[in-house]
Amino acid sequence: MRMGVKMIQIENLTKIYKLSKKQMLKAKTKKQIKIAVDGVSFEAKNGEIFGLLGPNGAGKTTTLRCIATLLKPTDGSVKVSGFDTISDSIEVRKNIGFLTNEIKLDPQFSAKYLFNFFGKMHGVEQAVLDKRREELFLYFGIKEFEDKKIDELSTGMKQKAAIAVALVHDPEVIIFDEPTVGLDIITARSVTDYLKALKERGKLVIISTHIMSEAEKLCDRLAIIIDGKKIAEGTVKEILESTNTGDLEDAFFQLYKDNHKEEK
Amino acid sequence: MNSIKNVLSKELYRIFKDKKMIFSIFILPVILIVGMITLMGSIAKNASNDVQKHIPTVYIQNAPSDFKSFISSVDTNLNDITFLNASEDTSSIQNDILKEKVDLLLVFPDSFSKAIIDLSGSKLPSVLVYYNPSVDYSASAESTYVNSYLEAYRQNLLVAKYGNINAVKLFDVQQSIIQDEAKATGKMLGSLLPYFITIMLFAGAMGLGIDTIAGEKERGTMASLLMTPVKRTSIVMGKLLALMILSVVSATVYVITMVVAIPIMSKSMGSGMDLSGLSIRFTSTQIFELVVVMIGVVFLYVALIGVVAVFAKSVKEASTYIMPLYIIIIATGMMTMYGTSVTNVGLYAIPLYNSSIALKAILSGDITMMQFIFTTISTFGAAGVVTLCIGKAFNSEKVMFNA
Repeated sequence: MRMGVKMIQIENLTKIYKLSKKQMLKAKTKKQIKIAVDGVSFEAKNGEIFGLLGPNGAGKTTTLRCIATLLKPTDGSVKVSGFDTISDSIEVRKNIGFLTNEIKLDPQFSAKYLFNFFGKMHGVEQAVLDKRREELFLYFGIKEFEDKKIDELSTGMKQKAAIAVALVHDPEVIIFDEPTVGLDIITARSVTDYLKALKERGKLVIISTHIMSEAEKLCDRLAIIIDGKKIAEGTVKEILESTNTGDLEDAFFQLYKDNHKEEK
Repeated sequence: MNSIKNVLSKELYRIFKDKKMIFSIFILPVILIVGMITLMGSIAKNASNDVQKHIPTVYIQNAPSDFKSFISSVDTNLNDITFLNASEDTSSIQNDILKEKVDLLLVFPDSFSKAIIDLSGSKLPSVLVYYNPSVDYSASAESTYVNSYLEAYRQNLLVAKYGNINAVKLFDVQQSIIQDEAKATGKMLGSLLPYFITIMLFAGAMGLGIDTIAGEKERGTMASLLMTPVKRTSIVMGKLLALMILSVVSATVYVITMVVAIPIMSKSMGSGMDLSGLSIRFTSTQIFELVVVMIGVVFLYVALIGVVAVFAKSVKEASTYIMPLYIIIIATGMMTMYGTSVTNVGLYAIPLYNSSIALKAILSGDITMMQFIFTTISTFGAAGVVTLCIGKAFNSEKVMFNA
């Protein structure tokens, strides 16, 4: 694997939701539209962990979903391994593994069945599939539970099974929305360790988080997103230098104060 | 093609590995149908036994003496027969018939015996019969007295008067039935089966259809399916095919149970349900037409269920939205239960309705080639259009992710 290949290229990504009357009421706004992502551009290369850092509702999840082809950008473009997420969505899906807490595994099936099922959907050959299942299930400690229904597994076990299934086709780009939310510290550690291992193998890992320590420890480069806009990008060191602060949390609040405007 | 097969086999695995599903598809229909027939049969039998056992309360006014002696010779329950004089007022008895306290009142005219000998007058003497047809006891008493007793009494009188009864009867009537057995059976099947089949086909796919689309959306498992590098229409087709198989299997179980259980049950209980003509003989054309129309119907039904399920935000919402559709299906089925086959070709172009009338016409052997072609094209066409809508919906982030 050549290093430094641009796996993800995002140009001027904008996502605008039209709100229904009910949603407007819920959001206590009179505007009929919500600009979730506002002209975000960045690039990420293979062999790195790239983090989107921002508060809840900043547009991190929307950005990741646009990369994962689940949402269509209102404006701008997203390219994964050179393929456009709208015109070549199937090619993009071959190259990515997308993980979020909202995407769940079917509770009526066993982890083994689902791993095989999604493997076949990705066109992975049975021999390769068996080998990969062995590896992943062993690493995440789900080998002995592989025949149990997802329904019967604990929360942490479910999450680990979901990770294994999302990696069934050995994707080049792994997109992970809030990787450690809802996990106990031991499971969280095994997940972050695995993300690092994936990076070592030359994959691009792109995560979203609002946990400063996680971003600081895990991410090679960061983009800070506030109110749908990217306001900073770079390594942790670069961000600290540009804001003249001592740690990422201070840097973040500095940027937040300068850029966040209360909605009227 | 491969991904359709993958999705299909996963859905089938979901159905046939689930004990609850197996129970509701294969065992519940048998329990339901056998239970229903047993219940209906025993209720009908009890009711008819009850009427047979009941001793009618009968009043007879002004009865000639030979009728009195005739009645006492044929009816052993003389205790409940009250003979009245000509002078007595019967209005309270008539009122009691209305109140269901008395079953029957017979009134012979004055000087009945004389009147039947001397028929020189233009008017025949009449025996008045008062009864209440909406009460089973009263209706049964009326039938016994008028058809058996009075008729036998009349014949006795005729024999006494003329010696040879044939002198006044002049001729007998003999009926012989000429009908196409297959068509008669088909007509009976044609009125019953399309109704049941259409409902069972729909009901069979309804539950799983909602679960496999609206349920997957709600549980968040749909997104992982949509992340796979296959065409969304392949996912839709895989799911619809599984629903079609389920629908056919469950309807088949119901129909076989009905066709096998009903004659056995009704025979063992002697409830008088005559299904002896239930010998099913179809020509190969009929079978071909049936299969084509049925596949079309099933395809259309699962597509309709799918389109409701995909636009609903939750299983609960989908279950609510599906009800009006279910009622329409039941109504179109009921429309074909009565009457003869529809001949207007244009009506065979209306999806949903056409499949019911076509099934009826095929079973009774009345369908024309034109009607069959119209039905097939419009049913498959409608199903195709609805499937495309589902495919579109699967591609819509608004529908799939509520975005």
